[in-house]
Amino acid sequence: MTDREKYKQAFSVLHTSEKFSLEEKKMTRLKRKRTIKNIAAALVVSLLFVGGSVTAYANDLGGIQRKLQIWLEGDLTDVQVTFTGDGNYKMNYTRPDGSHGEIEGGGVAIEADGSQRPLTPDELQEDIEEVDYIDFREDGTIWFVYRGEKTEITHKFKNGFCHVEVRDENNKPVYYTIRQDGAYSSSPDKYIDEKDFEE
Amino acid sequence: MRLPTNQLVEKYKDNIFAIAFNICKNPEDAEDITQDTFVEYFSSRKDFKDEEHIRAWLIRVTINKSKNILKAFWRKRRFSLDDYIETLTFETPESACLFENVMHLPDNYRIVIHLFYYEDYSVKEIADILKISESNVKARLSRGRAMLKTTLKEVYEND
Repeated sequence: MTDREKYKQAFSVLHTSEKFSLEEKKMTRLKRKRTIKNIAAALVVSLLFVGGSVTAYANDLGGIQRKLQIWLEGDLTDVQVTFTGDGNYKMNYTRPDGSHGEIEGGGVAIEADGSQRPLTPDELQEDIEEVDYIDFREDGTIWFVYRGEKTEITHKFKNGFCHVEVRDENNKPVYYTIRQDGAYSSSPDKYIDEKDFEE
Repeated sequence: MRLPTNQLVEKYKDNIFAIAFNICKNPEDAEDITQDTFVEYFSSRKDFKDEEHIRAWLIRVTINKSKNILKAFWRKRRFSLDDYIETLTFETPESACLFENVMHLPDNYRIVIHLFYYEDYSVKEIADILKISESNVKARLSRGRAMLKTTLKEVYEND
């Protein structure tokens, strides 16, 4: 027997347990994680929908378009979002310095039978309107993003939870309790108790 | 290209688990990391050249997550590796001995040994996955083998 065969034989005893599965809850929670690509600056930004008028109309070129006003790179910005009908969207905007920016995103929903379908424009807009999310990066780090501000929380978990205090648009405190699998809860009064986290 | 997550889980979950276990030496942590890795693939929109590219990505993500979990100061799970090894059923006593010896190697040697012998990666591919030099990979392979010399006896000419 070669060394390789001996090694493979020895380590073939390692298997995941019988209870191993990718729970639907984890999958549906993480379906909302956005992949945002800023072609001009290659930065990941958070998107905040702040009031303003919303006009929805069908475009002859294909897809539903909506005009929004959102915070981008620190400025309140007019953007045009095109929902392409396959669970994706493309957002175009002009920066204060006149340069062009483009952001893409999208997602899928997991149905009860396990099948997948593209998110609808309304679901995508709800996703865009999220002011907060947890970013699990390829390098293994974990980041909490709130109104564009990124905080690394990879090593801040204690007993599987971490706490982050942020300031909302009125400079009032918001208390986030974040579980290491990406679930989180917030309150304007205090940190949500870990034992009150729903499973 | 993209492959369905379920298909990848079926094909690679035990490989990913073995890599995670190789680094963190804890089956519960290894299983958490395995789940997290596949969920990250699922929620990623990354496009891949081919299945080999996906496999290498899964392994790289697993290694990074495993190293991060080792650094986490909250990680208080006290776990006896030797007790866990007692629960495993090996085909031969030699297999058990090799497994135990590998798991007691220094961390840096252990993952290189595993990627070489179990995942069949070349020195160049291992260097690319771990983001270290090929000479570094060769050195760790060589030293790891030296420490396992009673169980891995072949002399490799490709070092």
